[in-house]
Formats: sequence, structure tokens, C-alpha cells
Amino acid sequence: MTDKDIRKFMQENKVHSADSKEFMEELIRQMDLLPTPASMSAEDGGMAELILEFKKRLKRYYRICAILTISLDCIICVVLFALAFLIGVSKLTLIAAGVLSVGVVAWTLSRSPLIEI
Amino acid sequence: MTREQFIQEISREQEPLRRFLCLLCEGDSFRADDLAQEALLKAYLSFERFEGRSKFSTWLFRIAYNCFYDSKARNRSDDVPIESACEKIDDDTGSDKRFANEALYLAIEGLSDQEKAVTLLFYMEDKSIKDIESITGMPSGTIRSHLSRARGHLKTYLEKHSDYDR
Repeated sequence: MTDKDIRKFMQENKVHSADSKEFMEELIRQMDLLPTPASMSAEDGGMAELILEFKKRLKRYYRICAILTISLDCIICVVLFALAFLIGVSKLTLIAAGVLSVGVVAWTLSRSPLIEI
Repeated sequence: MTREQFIQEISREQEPLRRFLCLLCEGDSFRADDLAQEALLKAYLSFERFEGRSKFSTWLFRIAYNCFYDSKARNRSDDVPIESACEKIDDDTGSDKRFANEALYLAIEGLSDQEKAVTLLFYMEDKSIKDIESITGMPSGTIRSHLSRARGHLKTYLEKHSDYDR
């Protein structure tokens, strides 16, 4: 007994709905009683699509900005650590630079909708 | 998508959706049709939320699956006494379909609702594991373990019936 046999059994015993037409007629009747969603109406549909497209572009822009800033921040951190170990920059300077980097990341994330995605 | 296109799409998808719900409702086609209607109206009203990340049919199945569980929770909260439930079954002509496909109903009888849903989606509706993940909200590991248990159950059932014993 293989997977193929199970699939064959399932396909051979498929339930068929004979009253599809009546079901669709009733469904359309119910839909007529409801307001047409804005994204589906002929007039507003185009505008809704434009807004959705704009929203997507804006999300993409903010995402790229956030990724670039985080990458830059990581590079700065690596450089700072390298400086600290190689040249021996004071701890206070290092802490100040760290706080600044975290601040930049926090500010970027607060501006981007990355968290909502 | 315009309203007409939406209607065209759902008229293509309504049959597999109703079939899936009918099997989950143990052959009660009236209840299944009510649930399918509820699901399709919900899809119509919330079409703006469909972002196209999954297939349209997967999105519809997900709504239908949630409707099924919502209705189950509703039914559980207002439990019907056993006597009246038996009367309802006797009168229920919607269960006729159950007898037309009795072998299938008997084969999936011992499975839990989740196992049934996963099995039907995988074997009957030819959905991929990824699609089943989106529909049921279960992680792929859980889906695979449900499928494995259901497979064992179905094999045992089918091996007892010579028609499929090859």
C-alpha cells in the first residue's frame, strides 16, 4: 500500500456537489445585499490599487534604509572594537560611540514600518 | 480585481471548498454549504486584506478552515442534548452524501479533525505542505506527523478492503 494508492482511493471517492449553480446564485444574491468593497468597485478600484502600490514602494524604501543603516552601524561597531583593542581608545569614548550607534539604529527603526511587516 | 472577476474566481473554487467542508462536517452538506457561504462572503468583504502572498484558493481555504473551527466552538458552547441530536440526525437529509461516499467517510472516521483536514488537503485537493501550512496555520513538522499518522490509519483501512489491496 503506497501513497499513490491512498491518493487513488481519495480521488475515486471524491464528493461531487451537483447543485453548484444554485449555490452560486444564492451566494451572488447574498453578495448583492452587501456593500461592494472599495477595492472592487470600478471607480475606487484604480485608486485603491495606486495606494497599495505606493504603500509597497514606501515599505520597500524604509526597509532598504533600515538595512543600510544597521549595516553601517555594524561596520562602525567593528571599527570601534578594532580601535579599542589595537590602539587602545579610552573606554569612555567607546561607550559614547556605542550609545550613538544604538541611537542611530533606534531612530531608524522608529521611522521605518519594519516592525509592522 | 473587480467584483465580476471575484465571482468568476470563486465559482471555480467553490466546489473543492464545499467538498472539503462537507467531509470535515462528516457528510452534513447543509452545514458545509452554510460554512462555505459564510467563508466566501467573508472573503468578499475582506478582499482588501488579500495581499497575494499566497494563492487565491489557499486564502479561501484558510478562511473556510477558520469558519469551520469557529462554528465548532459555537456549537460546543450551546451543546444539544443527545436525544434531540439523534432526532436531528434521523431527519437530516443532508447526510445522504455520506452514504454515497461511505467508503471514504469510513476510512477517515477514526482521524481527528486536524488529521482529517491535513489528509484531505494533501491527498484529495493536492495541496503542498507549504499551502497546508498557510491554510491550517500549523508548522510543517506538525503537518508531517499528522500525515504520517493518517497514512498509517488509511493503509490499515485500505488493506482490509480487497479492492484497494494491490
